[in-house]
Amino acid sequence: MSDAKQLTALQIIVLTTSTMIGIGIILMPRDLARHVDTPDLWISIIFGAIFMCIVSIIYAFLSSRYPGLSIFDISPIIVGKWFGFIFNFCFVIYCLIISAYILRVTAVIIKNYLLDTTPLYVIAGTFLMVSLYLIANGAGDVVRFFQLYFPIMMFMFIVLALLSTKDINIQNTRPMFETDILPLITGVKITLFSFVGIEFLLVFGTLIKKKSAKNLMYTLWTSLGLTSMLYILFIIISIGVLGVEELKEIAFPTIEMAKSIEFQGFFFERFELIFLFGWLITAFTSLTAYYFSMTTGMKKMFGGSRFMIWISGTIIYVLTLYPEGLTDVFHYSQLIQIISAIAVIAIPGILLLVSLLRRQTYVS
Amino acid sequence: MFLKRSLISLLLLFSLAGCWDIKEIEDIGIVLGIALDTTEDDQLSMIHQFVVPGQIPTQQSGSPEGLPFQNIQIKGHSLFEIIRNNSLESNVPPNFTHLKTILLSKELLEKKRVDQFIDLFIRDHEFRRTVPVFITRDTVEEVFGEQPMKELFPSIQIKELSENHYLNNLTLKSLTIGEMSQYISEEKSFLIPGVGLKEGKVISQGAGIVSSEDFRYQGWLTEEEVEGVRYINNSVEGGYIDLSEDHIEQGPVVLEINGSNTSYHVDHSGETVQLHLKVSIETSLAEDWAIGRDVYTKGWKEDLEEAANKNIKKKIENVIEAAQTEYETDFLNLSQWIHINEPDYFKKHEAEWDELFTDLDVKVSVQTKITEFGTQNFNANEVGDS
Repeated sequence: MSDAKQLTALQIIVLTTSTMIGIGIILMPRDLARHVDTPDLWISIIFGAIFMCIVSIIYAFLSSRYPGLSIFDISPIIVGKWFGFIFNFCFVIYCLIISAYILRVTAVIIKNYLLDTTPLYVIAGTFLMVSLYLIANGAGDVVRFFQLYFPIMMFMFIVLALLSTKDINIQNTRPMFETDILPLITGVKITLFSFVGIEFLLVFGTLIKKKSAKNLMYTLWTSLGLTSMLYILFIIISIGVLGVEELKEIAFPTIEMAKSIEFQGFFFERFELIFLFGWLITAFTSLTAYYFSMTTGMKKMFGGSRFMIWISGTIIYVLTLYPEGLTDVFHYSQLIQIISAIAVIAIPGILLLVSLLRRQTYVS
Repeated sequence: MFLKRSLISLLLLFSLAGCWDIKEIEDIGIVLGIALDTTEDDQLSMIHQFVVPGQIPTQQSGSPEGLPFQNIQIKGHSLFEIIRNNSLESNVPPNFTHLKTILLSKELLEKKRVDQFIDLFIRDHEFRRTVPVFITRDTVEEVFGEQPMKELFPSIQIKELSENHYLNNLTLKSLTIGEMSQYISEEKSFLIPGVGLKEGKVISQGAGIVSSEDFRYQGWLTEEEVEGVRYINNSVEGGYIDLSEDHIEQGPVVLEINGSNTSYHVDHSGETVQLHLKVSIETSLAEDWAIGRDVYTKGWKEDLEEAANKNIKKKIENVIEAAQTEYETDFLNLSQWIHINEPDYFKKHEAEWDELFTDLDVKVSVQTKITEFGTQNFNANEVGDS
């Protein structure tokens, strides 16, 4: 059984970072290249990170004002039963859509690069089942799993970065600082989406009891800083290896980059297989986090049945297989951005505002 | 309970055996090289070079009779069609994960657009972005049919030849299909390293120009011109400077290049842009036929350096001249330096770059330095005179 009572700062960092890094690192370079269209894309990531740092202040305050409670407990307390229900419902829908998106993209990548002849529904199904098995035992196991795989995943990314340096053509990243500021700032709407996952502080609020707002804030900023550093590193390497024009056209730029690493005549000539193994864990951790919070939310809303995990899993599975092709999936990303903005910024913002206006804390 | 569980676990183990989609390695047609050509009636023709595992010489059985590879040529109007039609005459499905070489014929590049026919190689995940591409003026059948001396397979030989670029500067560094795709999406002209046949042997020679205008073959660069390209692209890592009697009185003298660096300076005044290439080369004396050169007294190298400067500068200017007047396309990728150094100017004139390039003012200066002379001063005394 799950036995975690209180998360340490390190655990929070691992948890939020593992959730944030997921399919974003594979998909963001292309979207951003299409939007900004110069080698200065990485500046957009900094803007996105700064923006997210400001948003994370909301989480830190909310979490410290209501220690030991998750967002699903907090919202009925603050805005009343009915509005709280609506807020929770929105948040659950958000988790559902993101999990389905992650699952679909991951399944497509596995099908494209690893399991060519396996049907998509089998890949998505098994992936989801493993996730279900992990979260069945509760939050403690999820946290421990994240902690266990965090070093492996970081190691994999660093190895890829180091091996890619050989293929970098530094001229691809030039000229630097020659872009208008406007597209870089509007690029935030794309980079922001790569930073969602930080709001899991609120979902895991049950395990955060005696942290001060200031400490929580610093913890969140550390994980945001870590994530954005990894993103910036990868986007610069992607530009260096592939060039901006090419980045705009490749479906999964980071994997193609891993694919161009070659050890001549060596045992693992195909590095991307090893990289994919590391990356799949990050996709898995993101999926697990969203699946877990969706289940938690459903339990809070409709009563704590142990079948809830199966129900939410089935809904995710059905939604995953709903889009017809990858073009369809990418088409939905616009919608997903709006929903994320609502769930990640608007809901916590309103909650904190109302809570401040009513001068209410959990203790009082 | 325990027994039951362990029994079930044991039984489950069998499902992990992994023989589900088993394919024996002998039944996979490993393709080492692809050669593309056109036929008279404008169709594509594609040669797959398959490995024939049974014919690979092993230490036990000695060298077998036949060739270790098999070339199968198929015609069609799309590449995918050709690949799948392999199954009409060969029982092994082709597998491209170990592809080493893609060879294109000059005729194909004249008739078809590169950006159209390489689509499959970029789109299909079985092809890697690192496969090098070559162009030949000879018939691809012959180039692919020649068994090399040391290597077993022509396609591997072609690839390995391109890896000798640090030994001399007469051939280009290899161009991978990924780099080619990058040039195409950036709408730039580029060079494809050439291979050819000489007295029945495959050699690397020259390069083919593909113009950004329609991504078709535009012309051929000789070895001499390729040498200039290497200096312009700052890709010289070794090689030599050969100073014959034409360049220096007591020739020939050969300088070995230890390192070379090209820096690019852009002067922008008003509406004109000038590009200044500064090449600095570090060399050592490799071979000296001259009589009476004393490397222990100061001043022995000035005239050698001067001659080397002139020699290299001439080669660089020749190829720039050829690009500007003969081919009128920027296959030297000089636009990159304008883009990096004068981004505002370049953004304004990006669309008309090909016209501007023909009048671009390029200044070249070469600085050769001789730092070492080897292990012994030989032939220091003028024997004939005494």
